[in-house]
Amino acid sequence: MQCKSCQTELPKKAKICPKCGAQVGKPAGNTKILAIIGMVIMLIGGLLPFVQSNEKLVDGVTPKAYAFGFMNISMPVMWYLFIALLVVGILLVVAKKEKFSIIASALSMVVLVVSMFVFQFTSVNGKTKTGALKYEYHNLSDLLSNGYKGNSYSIGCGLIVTAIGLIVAIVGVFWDVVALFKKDLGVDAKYLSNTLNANMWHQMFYFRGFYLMFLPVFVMVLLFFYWPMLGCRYAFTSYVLANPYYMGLFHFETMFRFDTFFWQAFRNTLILSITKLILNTGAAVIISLLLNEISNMLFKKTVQTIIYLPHFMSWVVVAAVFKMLMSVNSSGVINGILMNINLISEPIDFFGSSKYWTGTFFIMNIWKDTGWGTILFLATLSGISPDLYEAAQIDGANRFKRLIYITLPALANTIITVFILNLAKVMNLFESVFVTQSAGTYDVSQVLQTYVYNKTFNASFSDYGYTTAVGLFKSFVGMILVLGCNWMSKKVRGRGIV
Amino acid sequence: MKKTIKKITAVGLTLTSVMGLVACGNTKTEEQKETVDWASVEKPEKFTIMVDNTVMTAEEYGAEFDAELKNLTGLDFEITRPDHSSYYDAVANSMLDKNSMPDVVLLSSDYLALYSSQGLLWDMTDAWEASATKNSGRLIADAEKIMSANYCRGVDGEKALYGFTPARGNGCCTYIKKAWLDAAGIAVSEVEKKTLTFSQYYDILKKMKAAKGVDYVISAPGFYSKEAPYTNYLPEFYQDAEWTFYYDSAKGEFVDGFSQKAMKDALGRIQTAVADGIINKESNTKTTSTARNDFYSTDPKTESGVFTYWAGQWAETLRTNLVSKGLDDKLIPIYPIKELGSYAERLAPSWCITSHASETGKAEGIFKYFIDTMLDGGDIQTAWEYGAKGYHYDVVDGKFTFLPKKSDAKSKYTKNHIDPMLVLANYKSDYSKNGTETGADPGKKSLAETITSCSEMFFTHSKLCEPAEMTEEVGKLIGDINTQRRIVVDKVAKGELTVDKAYEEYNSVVGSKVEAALKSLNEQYASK
Repeated sequence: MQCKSCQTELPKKAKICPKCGAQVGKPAGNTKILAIIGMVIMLIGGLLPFVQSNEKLVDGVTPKAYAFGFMNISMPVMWYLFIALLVVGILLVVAKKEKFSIIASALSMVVLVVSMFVFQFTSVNGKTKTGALKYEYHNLSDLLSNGYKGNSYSIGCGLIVTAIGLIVAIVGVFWDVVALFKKDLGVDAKYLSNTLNANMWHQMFYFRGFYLMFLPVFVMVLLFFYWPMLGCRYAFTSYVLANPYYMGLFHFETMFRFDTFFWQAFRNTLILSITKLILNTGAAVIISLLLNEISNMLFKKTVQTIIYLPHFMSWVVVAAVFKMLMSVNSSGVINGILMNINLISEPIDFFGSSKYWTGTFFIMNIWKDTGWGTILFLATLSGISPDLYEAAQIDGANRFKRLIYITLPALANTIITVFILNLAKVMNLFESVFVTQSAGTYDVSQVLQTYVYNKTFNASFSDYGYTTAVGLFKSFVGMILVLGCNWMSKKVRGRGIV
Repeated sequence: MKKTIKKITAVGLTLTSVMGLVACGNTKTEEQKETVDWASVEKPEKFTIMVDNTVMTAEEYGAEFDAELKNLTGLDFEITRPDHSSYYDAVANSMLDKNSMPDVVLLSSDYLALYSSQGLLWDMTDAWEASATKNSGRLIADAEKIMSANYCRGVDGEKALYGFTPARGNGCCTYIKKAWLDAAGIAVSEVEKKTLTFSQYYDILKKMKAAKGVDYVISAPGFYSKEAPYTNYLPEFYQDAEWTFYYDSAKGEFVDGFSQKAMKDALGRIQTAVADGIINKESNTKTTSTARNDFYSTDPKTESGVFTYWAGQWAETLRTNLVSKGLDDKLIPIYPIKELGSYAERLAPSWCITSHASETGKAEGIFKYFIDTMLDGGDIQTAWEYGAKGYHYDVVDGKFTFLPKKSDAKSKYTKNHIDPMLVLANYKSDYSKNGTETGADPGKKSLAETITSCSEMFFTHSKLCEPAEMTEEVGKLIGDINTQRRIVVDKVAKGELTVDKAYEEYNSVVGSKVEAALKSLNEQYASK
């Protein structure tokens, strides 16, 4: 057999031409991402209920025998088998044996359907004296036709989601979605990368020293970031202290339909985070522009140092200092000043009143973080060519005009970058709120992170299932924001953030 | 192809085993109650204990206390001492997994009710009935009443004893600084050992405010307490109001104490007192420590003159702190006002044995050799009351002395886990510690007079709190309900909402949850 590229005679079973490096045989093509997505959808479908009660939910009441899925099947081995088949399917796709993955995904669907109608499912009816769950056993076909304790049952979203996943997984095998987003450069693949890059394992062996150094980090990431993610399953269980049991989407339905505190926290998270982001970025830009105009270096460095310092103070200390300064009692300096200059007649309760808490929170944030935020802007400003200013000056542009037509346009890209990078983090508001809030200001200060914390640790009676569901929702919104910001970042900067 | 399949199989199996962990289930079986021959119960193997900082901490010769207790009891155990502020987080986390669950745990009354309702604790009713402590004849008169209050509902809805309490729970009483009374021209005899009415008490507060020209008179760690009985930091203002659900015998059903008229009136009184500058407006941002600091403050702007805090040992601690700050140290612990009737004696934290110890067959042994010896009327009781000899106290020629603290040599130890003023059992008649008076508590006479007199006043004028009723529904809902209650109290106290408007909000936000909680309590009561 000869190489199609250089016509060299190829050794038996050669995959790459030894002379020119061209690939022998059909190109492997792109990984079939859509097939993988389909199987991930199927895995998620396995967590959702196959059969669900039609009982009308009432606020405060936990229904019995509400949902049935793999998590309360009497033979959990069927769930393991379902997961195993899908994992094999994903690996087959990764190994470019896509067509075999159809068998794996179809078999997993068969396992699901067999599980539904052959095996029994459990519901919990109280607990034993030692806290173990008392189970009742059900056939899903019986439940669907006869109901249970006056409730009728219907097919749940788990089955539908899994079926959709199967279709996507099969379609994905034949449809190379990645190709739609890739530009064909019309260049032979061998010129795009060297032979080492062509094979991941060769590459890893070649750079084994680096990979060895990376290993501890990799283990840590797996242990502390990915292993805890397995806890997401508790979002589908009732879990007060111990012995969780499957409740399907009950927590999510409760959260969206009845939980006033959740919606309040969600609204506050977005309002506080986004406003804080705009104010902090705006203040940092203004301070940077002002600092840039200072010509005395000693004074400039001194000011910079002073405004950086608050960033290194812990939020606990910052809150204590501000609470002291803004006390509603006569020890409060700010209220004293405002009253002495007759701006107010009664002291303002900056931290205890919902009316003033939000403003106080923003002031604290600006004070603490503006200085730190100026670093990037100052770095950009120092990179603007002095020639531009000189030319503008010769053309008669005053300081303001130079600011408008040279400085700000040069800074615009950095402002957008900083804004986008921080937008991805808006759901992670906790410490600054936690140290300043009190029950009287919850209507404006309770954010999702503090809500989950208070509900889990301060409530005495922690429902881990529910708070995991809230946390999962928060992570979902956070993921959308990160992906959205990544897309925006690609548009603005030409490269993403993830 | 073969190699690929091998690789895929290997990685697939690994991943599957990892994913399989996700689906681990619980396969416990129902336990049958057995009759125990207590005489033949043997010492348990090594067991684990989780305690808060009411037991000598690691920084205060905790290891030495552990060693002495092991020596005295002949038991092998390991004591875990989580950080005090996050103690119940640590307890809750330990309960998630059998491998981390301690065999013995110290729980407050709220947690006792919750954990027993979840089946996480061992039923010690029979053990207590057969115990040496109960049958010793050394228990104080109120001991049975106090132990009875610890009976709470298990997972089967039946009331049983799930925790042993070796001491009374104590409670809060109100202290007034004599210097402030003097400044207001009020004689001590007008308040000391007198049952004032609310209007008389309020009048005294107003006079003190006027005389001192201060922002506030009372410093409180919040307008409510964060644990049962919730109202104990401002008892004169809450009076007979109940914070949470209780059984109303007149109505024959459970009611929401927070929605009753008594609570609405209480909130009105708090609102007025905050507006009048009697209670610190910033109480909602105060902790027990910052509120105490206000009481000792040398800054006239932040100093308070009235403080409701723990009776007994704390009477002396408050006094010595005032002395150390150079302030007048005379404190008057007043009687409960007429409308209040009596101070609330909280339920003491209980020593509980977990279901894990029960499953491993250690529960009976732990009860017999660890819990039942706490009040042995001898050396073990002394260790629980005062700590380790030579580290926390010493006895030389029959004279008992407290030793200086390891963390602060200027102050001395006064007690270990069991407060000698609150202990439920007397010493054995023939017990003497290195020549101390036979049959008497060896260290009690060494306690300051402030402590003993304040304790006596408190127990004469206090009433034991009722234990909280619990159902699974209440357990799930009480967090949200209490959050809204706190919001209501804070907003009303600050004058941001009227009482009526606040209750409209309360009903609209958690009204249905309150109804569901009451329904579950009434159903449980009706079924048992």
